[in-house]
Amino acid sequence: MSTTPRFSKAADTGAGFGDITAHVADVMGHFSSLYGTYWQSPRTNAMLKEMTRLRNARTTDCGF
Amino acid sequence: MASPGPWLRPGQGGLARQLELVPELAQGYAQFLASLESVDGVPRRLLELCRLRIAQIHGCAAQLQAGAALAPVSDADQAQLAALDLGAFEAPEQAALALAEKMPLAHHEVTDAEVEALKTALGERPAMAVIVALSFFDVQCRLNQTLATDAND
Repeated sequence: MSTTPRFSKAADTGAGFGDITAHVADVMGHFSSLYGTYWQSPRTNAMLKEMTRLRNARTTDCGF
Repeated sequence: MASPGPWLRPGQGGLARQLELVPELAQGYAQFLASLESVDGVPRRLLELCRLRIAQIHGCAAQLQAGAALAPVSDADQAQLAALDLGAFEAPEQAALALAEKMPLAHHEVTDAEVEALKTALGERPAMAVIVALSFFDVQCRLNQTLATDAND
């Protein structure tokens, strides 16, 4: 797996993933809003959400 | 509320209806998908070919039965997709399909050359949009299959 970003930076905020995906900033803005809604929602326990996020990252071998 | 993407409409797996159990997430998801479908420079047929190929890989009946969700694709083209006979497709479609092939189950095997080919074919912004779309075609199949929604719901 490559560890070198495959896209140029479209922004320079220091947030690696965000700077690359800023090529579609409008799309990612909607995604960030959705993701924020999920994380801020009280419907599900925050610890459960974080535990499943980490487990998913481990299962998919996502170092990010 | 934004219109759900055509691959998320009620009747296409009943998925949108199930997501409405959490309306704030359903609304945000629909808005996100709608924005993803409308990036300039991304041919809708290319997106549809990739959506169908990822559904074929997953064996996702709901997505396969949502035919022509984003653009018309002939039965012959769908058969060529299933057979991985990609020679008849245009160069940008082939580049996107090479990535679509790996997105569901072999994403670690994506190569620099494959990403570069897509960027060369479409340009950086549309190529990024396609990669994000591929990941969510994959998500959509996982949602359909996890929630056991099919096209007749």
